[in-house]
Amino acid sequence: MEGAVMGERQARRVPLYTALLTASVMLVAGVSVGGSYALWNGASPISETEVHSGTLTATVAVGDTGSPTATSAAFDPSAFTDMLPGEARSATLTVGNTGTTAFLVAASLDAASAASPYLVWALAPGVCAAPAGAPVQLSASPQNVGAALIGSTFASYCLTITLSLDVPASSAGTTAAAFTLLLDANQYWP
Amino acid sequence: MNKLTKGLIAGGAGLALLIGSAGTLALWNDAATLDAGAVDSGVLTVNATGGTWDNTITAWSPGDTATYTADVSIVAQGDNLHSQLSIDPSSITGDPELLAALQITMSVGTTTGGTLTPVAGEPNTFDVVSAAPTTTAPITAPVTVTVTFPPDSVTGTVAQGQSVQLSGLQFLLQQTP
Repeated sequence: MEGAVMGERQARRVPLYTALLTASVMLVAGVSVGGSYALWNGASPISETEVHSGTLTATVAVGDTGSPTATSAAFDPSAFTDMLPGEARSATLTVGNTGTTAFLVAASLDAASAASPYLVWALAPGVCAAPAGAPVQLSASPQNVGAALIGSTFASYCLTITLSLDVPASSAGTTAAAFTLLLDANQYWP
Repeated sequence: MNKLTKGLIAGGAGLALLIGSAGTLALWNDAATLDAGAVDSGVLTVNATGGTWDNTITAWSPGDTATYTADVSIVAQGDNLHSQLSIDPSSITGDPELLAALQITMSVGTTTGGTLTPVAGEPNTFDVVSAAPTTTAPITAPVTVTVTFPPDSVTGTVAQGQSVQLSGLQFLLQQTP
């Protein structure tokens, strides 16, 4: 009877030992993990510096004087009215780089205007009175025009619209939908 | 014998042992010196000298890169010492967009006095092995830290006009288990 009682006591102790053993293992594991941070280490600083990113900001204005802030502009409505077959009209616009990063100007037309069979748009670097480069015929896909424009500078471009000679007589007196010249300023990477 | 008697006997035996143990101090005793030598600890240090940036960019834009090159000298003295050299990009602070765009890498040039071997799967981390681990002979190598603003890391106007401080960046030499 007494032996049975002792056995029962031992049986009761087993879970306690197991619990103590488990707790100890966990503690040792914790010490081991924490201890790895206490190993030797040294450090040597890298010369302090700071990275400042620049900016890329484009503006546009009609005429040969740039705008410090405008990102859209409208041509004088009379600039391209009453055009005759074979006639070409030009107007100067100026793009400004008011940021710090050089960019290339890529020009394109809205899809409807680009699909026009009797109108041809071209953009050339320089003012219309003194073009500074070959014109680029515009389409719905952006195309680079002129050289890179560095920060804090302005550059003028000449937009020329030509009405085809073979435009049908039935088009006389009609108005083409307003066109949109899209100018993208893409970071220049030599 | 009842329980009280058993308890008294047990208590008496314990007392007798204590007396006997304390009594040895006054009786014969002897000692022998064990000459086990000394325990000398090793050394683990890193020093960078002559560090310079190759250029100073006032306003960074995508595609820009700057490198910092320094001569690193490591003393890793210890028979069983294992250590790794690294940089910790997480110590860099700044505006989130620019911080996310920047890439920082470390490379090691010709090493003397030991080896600095890239650790697979751990960028910018090198295993340090001294050619003479029981001495303080240094391991030296030119180490280059490259900070890059990758061209394809941002689009539109993301990360413009921001700043990132590299003041927390260090060469770290850490003992490993």
